[in-house]
Amino acid sequence: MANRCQFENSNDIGVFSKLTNAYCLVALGGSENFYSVFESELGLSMPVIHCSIGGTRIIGRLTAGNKNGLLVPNTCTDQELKQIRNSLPDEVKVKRVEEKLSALGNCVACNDYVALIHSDLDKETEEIIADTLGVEVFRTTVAQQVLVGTYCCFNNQGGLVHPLTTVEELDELANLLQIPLCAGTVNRGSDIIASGLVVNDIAAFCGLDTTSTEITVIEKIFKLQDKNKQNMEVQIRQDMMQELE
Amino acid sequence: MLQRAVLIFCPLCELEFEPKLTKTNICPNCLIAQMNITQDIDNDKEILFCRYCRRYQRPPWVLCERDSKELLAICLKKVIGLQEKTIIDTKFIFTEPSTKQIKLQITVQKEAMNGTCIQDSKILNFEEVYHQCEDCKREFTPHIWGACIQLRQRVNHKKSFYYLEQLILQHHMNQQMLKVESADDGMNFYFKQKNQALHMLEFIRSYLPIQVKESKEVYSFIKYTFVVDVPRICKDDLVILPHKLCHQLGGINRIQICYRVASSIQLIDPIKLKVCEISAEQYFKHDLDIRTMPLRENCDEFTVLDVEKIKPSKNDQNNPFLNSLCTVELMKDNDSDYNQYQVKSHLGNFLQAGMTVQGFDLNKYNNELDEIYDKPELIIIRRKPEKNKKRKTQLKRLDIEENQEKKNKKKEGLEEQQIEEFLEDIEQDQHLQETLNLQQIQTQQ
Repeated sequence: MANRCQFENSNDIGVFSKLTNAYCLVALGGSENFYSVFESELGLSMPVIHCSIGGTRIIGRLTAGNKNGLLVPNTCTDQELKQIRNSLPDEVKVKRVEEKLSALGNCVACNDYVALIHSDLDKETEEIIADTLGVEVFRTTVAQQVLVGTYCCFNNQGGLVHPLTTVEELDELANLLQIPLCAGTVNRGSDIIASGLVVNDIAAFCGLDTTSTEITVIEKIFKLQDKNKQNMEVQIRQDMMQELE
Repeated sequence: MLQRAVLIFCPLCELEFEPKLTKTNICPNCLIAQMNITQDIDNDKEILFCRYCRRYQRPPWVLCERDSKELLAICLKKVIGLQEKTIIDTKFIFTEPSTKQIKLQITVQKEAMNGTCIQDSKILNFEEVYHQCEDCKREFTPHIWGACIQLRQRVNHKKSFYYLEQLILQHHMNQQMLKVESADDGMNFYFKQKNQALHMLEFIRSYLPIQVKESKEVYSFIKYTFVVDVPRICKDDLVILPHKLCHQLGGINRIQICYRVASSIQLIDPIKLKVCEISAEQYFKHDLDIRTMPLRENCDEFTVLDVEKIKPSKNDQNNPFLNSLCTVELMKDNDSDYNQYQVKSHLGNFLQAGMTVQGFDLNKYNNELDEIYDKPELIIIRRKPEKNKKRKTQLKRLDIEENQEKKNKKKEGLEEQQIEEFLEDIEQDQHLQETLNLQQIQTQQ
């Protein structure tokens, strides 16, 4: 189920939060409204953790993770690292990465099985990713952009990419990821997908500006619709066909 | 295999489209609606239209048809908000002329972000607003003159005025005049402001000798009137000067021929063949005492038998007629009189044996000429002009109004004859031809 929310009047949810199948990280200092949206949806199934990285609130773009692990940049202080490690469930491995390209959220896009990384990331970092997150790692570009973490967003069911992605690229990526992909926008036509949208297998959150068309696309591709609703849709369609006949 | 395109749903209108086309993730329709490049093009504008002469203001007032290029240019000049946009197409939409509305459909193109060009069209409305143009204002308000020049010459003909008229046309002095009226003895020029009239006076002063008297009427504004007098002496007149004036000018003879009228009156003595000049002031002091005998009324014709040139003496070096002084043997053009006469003349370059000349036979007149001793018997003024029926010159005329109250019925047929005589005069005189620049006044039929 896709929900709309705003962090301090900004529609860029993906900058201030990180959502995986095991946990959720949110930035400090937002209104309780923001947190309540997350907690109402996810509160029972997973911990919602308030944290900061290197004193900043842009945690969504600095970190990369899935249900197996979490990677933080070298700007993260020891105290913050400790706090995160304490709050997360024990199965989740937390690792600090020494990397020149420290905005890991922009450089790495991953789900629980596959990760796409920035073309210029270190070999060492690649190995750490493969190790900590337990994924297959591929160096690719999305729509001729190297920042894969920004321009595409996927969960285990499907993915959304930058609207200017070519057909060949789409086919290639879908092949690598083994999930259906489609091109689209969030937040009223913005093509920076991952900053406007956070998603896991059960829920998605996007900015308040997102139009209903975009929500429909998101729900469809990430397969977030309730089973009940899906059945209802099929029923309505069948009834209409009968009437026309 | 068909190239499949990546389609996305437009976030605003759910239309599936190729994002490559617009590069902005919004479908083209929504993009046009959002960008709205025609928003800042003003819609309702006014064009000034004079209903008397049916002209549009540009700012110069031009006459143009309803759907013409000129009207399009006027409309587009009025529109603001066309910067950074290129106009692709314009079209007039039909409107009834009586509605006073002009509708123009304009298609503009503008570069939006990411290098896409958006094209949109808009209908602009122009309203014709009635406004009287300057020329019609002048026609409608005849009494709005602030200065008037009343030009008078107390002679029977109007040749000086034709001459002045041609000069005015040539130098375009008529642009500031509100109106030109003709009177019995001259013309009236009306101006809006005093300085315009003064400008005109200076112009006249450089071509004719004049005397100006100024007066004014005081209303809430002031109306100035300049009465300008032109001397009675014209070209080719015989002039008889009073004693006083002759003494003032250095003891010249009383009988003189006027050979040119410019900013002063230029005379030549028929006996001694010396030239002298009378300025306007000198003339008007002795106005009443000077007698003139115009050539037209009193001329006699003579045949030239022989022309003998006079060698110029040292005293004559300043004479403009230096090379054309001569003695001429004449015979009257009269069957009864076979006398031969010898006369001195300044027309040496123009005379040949066998020509007919016009002049005065002074034996005929018994008036104050009797007092003058050693007056010549005959005086030659000029060659007889040929009756040139093939004349191709037609004079351009000023737009002169007749002053209806004072119109003299006798003079109706006279104007044509006088214009003919004026043209003859110009042909005879080279100096006049140069001043008037004859090419300008000749119009081909």
